[in-house]
Amino acid sequence: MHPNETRIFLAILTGVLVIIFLIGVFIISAIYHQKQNAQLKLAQLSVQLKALERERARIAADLHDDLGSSLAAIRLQIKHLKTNNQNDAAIIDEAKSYIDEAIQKLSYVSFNMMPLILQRNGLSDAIKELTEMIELTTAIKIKCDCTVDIGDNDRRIHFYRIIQEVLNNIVKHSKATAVNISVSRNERYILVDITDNGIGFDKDRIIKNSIGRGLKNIKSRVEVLKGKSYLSTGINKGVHYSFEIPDTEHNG
Amino acid sequence: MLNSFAFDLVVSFSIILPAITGLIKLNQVRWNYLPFILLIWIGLFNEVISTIFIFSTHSNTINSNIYVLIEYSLLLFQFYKWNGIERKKCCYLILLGIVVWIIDNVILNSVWTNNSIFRIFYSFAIIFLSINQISKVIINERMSLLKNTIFLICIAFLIYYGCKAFIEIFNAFHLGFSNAFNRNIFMILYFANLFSNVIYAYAILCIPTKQEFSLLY
Ligand SMILES: Nc1ncnc2c1ncn2[C@@H]1O[C@H](COP(=O)(O)OP(=O)(O)O)[C@@H](O)[C@H]1O
Ligand SMILES: [Mg+2]
Repeated sequence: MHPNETRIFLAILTGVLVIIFLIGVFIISAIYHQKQNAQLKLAQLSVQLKALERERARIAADLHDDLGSSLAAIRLQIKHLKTNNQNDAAIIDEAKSYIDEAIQKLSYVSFNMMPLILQRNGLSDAIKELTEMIELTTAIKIKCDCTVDIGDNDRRIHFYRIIQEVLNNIVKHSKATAVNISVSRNERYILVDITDNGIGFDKDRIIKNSIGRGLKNIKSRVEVLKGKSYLSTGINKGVHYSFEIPDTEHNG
Repeated sequence: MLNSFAFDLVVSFSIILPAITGLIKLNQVRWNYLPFILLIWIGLFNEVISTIFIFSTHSNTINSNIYVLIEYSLLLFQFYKWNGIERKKCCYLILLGIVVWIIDNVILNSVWTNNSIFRIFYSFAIIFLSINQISKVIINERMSLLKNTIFLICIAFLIYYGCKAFIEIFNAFHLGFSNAFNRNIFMILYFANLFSNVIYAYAILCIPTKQEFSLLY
């Protein structure tokens, strides 16, 4: 190269290097702020979910304790009613069955809102109860292999809600006849796997049309648990939900 | 020194790195990343053809001119798959690219010469789309960006196509410098190419093995 050319080349090279340096600064700053922002969002989400669950637990307890005991009292009173009139007896029987239905519905609503059994007996019993309820009201057969229990109350609720929403989706959308649930623990993770043999769906389409509320909630809860969510499906291929959540109880 | 043929060859064939990681990952890679991996293999194929042409006819302009059009279309399709661009816009941009390519390679010049207009156009298009995608990822991603395939690839795009746009614009002025000077200028692009191929290889390794959901923005 001509000496003049060498100087021009060096000038150009310097310019390019400066621009690359600036891009580098931008990348580092982006990574830094994304990290900060992600942590903040997660903390906010965690607080929001906690408040939501606390409110649900309060309402569920109120329903169960106040309304539930009132209904039980009414039922007892009706039971003691005696009449010789044929018509009145029929009305009394009818009232009894309405009350029974109301009690049933009430316990269903309060169970959905916050199963007391989740706090009392732990995750596996709550899931068992949930699956029994589904088997009772639908034609789905559920195989449940869940013996793992979660010590921390907030975390336990997250696990339960995730499984609940997945089962909701299966009941609502899948047309499945058989479902497999497995919750297991290895040395580092708690693994939740749920498969159904239903119609599946086009994942890319659902995601493109901005993913539904339920899936979003599942994902948020898994993020709060610092885990990962996987979903594999295809049309007529059933759905496989799988979650991999760090086991904080084993490694502090 | 720098401008030895062997060096050229090594840099050009650094695309083997991402091609191999793409092959390793292939059965785990979702359809969402396929256009990019396809592009890497086509790129490798193009390097082979170029080498053959340079040995036989001393010019790889014809296949390069065709390759950039394929590259542009596949990249746009990839951005569509990443939800960085809507289907309609993607189609319009590809059509626009074809029009610019025809103007550049058929009407104003010929496919047998080294033409700049289309290369400048598509470099800028890719840069804009990359910046857009990077912003989306930064806002929506909660996991580490350093393991985010889309983010990494877009950063590499930014640097590689940035250099490319710069050099093609420089070229378009026909400043009449010596051959040695022009070679050195192109050396900048070679280094950017080497760098981006290493990033691509790493980014492909970062593609999640199982199908994570709502990963795309
Ligand atoms: N197990 C499943 N089987 C079939 N389709 C499902 C299943 N789970 C989810 N889907 C599909 O994914 C969509 C999004 O689900 P979700 O986010 O829970 O929203 P929603 O249940 O309110 O419709 C559903 O509308 C449904 O089409
Ligand atoms: Mg739902």
